[in-house]
Amino acid sequence: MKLSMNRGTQLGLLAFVVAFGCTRVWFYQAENVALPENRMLFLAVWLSAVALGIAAFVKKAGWLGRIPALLAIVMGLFFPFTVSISEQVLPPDAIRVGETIPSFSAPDDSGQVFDSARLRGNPVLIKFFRAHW
Amino acid sequence: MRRWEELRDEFDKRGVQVLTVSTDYPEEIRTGRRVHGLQATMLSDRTLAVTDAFGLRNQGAHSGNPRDEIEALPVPASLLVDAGGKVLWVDVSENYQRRSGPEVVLAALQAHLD
Repeated sequence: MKLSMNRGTQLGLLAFVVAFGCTRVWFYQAENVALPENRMLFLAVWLSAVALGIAAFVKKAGWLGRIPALLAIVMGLFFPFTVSISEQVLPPDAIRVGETIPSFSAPDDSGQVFDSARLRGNPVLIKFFRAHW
Repeated sequence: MRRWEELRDEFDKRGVQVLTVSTDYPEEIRTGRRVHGLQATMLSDRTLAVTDAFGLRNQGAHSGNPRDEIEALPVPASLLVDAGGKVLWVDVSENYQRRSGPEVVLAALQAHLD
């Protein structure tokens, strides 16, 4: 069977490659804690993948092009959205260097209550995180 | 979190205790611990009481899992505290997609405890 690809299908495949490649690089950098401060390049590439995906539909891509084009559009819109809501804002009374930490207690992962009094006597590294990833 | 375990020897050498705080349920933390093999005291702060005591509740857009019934999340932050409870170093991520990597933490250990 000969696989014929019209311009739309080619655009759809290209859109997917661009969106997927950009997302792959993003995760690679995120895992290595080296996401750049300026994400404009990522945004530009994702949004161009969206544009390519839309172009694929306009050019009447076959099914082989429409599926990747749709994936590219979803990926290309979703990631810029997560970037836009990722800004964190601290309350004005956030703890600062030189201050003494408050006392607190909370259950640990075995359900036992941990009291901060147990921290005295050793240096401690405390890490607040949003979820187990 | 996983990558912090690379610093295990550096923590032990300096007698540093590691404590984590998240809004996950204790069961979820247990699963995470098994998966990642983490050695740390891991606290579950469902009510954000600990987060609020440190003033680390995120005031920006809430982007947590809506099914999770948590009203807010902490700003990801790392603190190094001395044996008397004084804060030596704070690293706050203004963006949750950026976190302190092991090299940042190691630099803080060396700068403040050596």
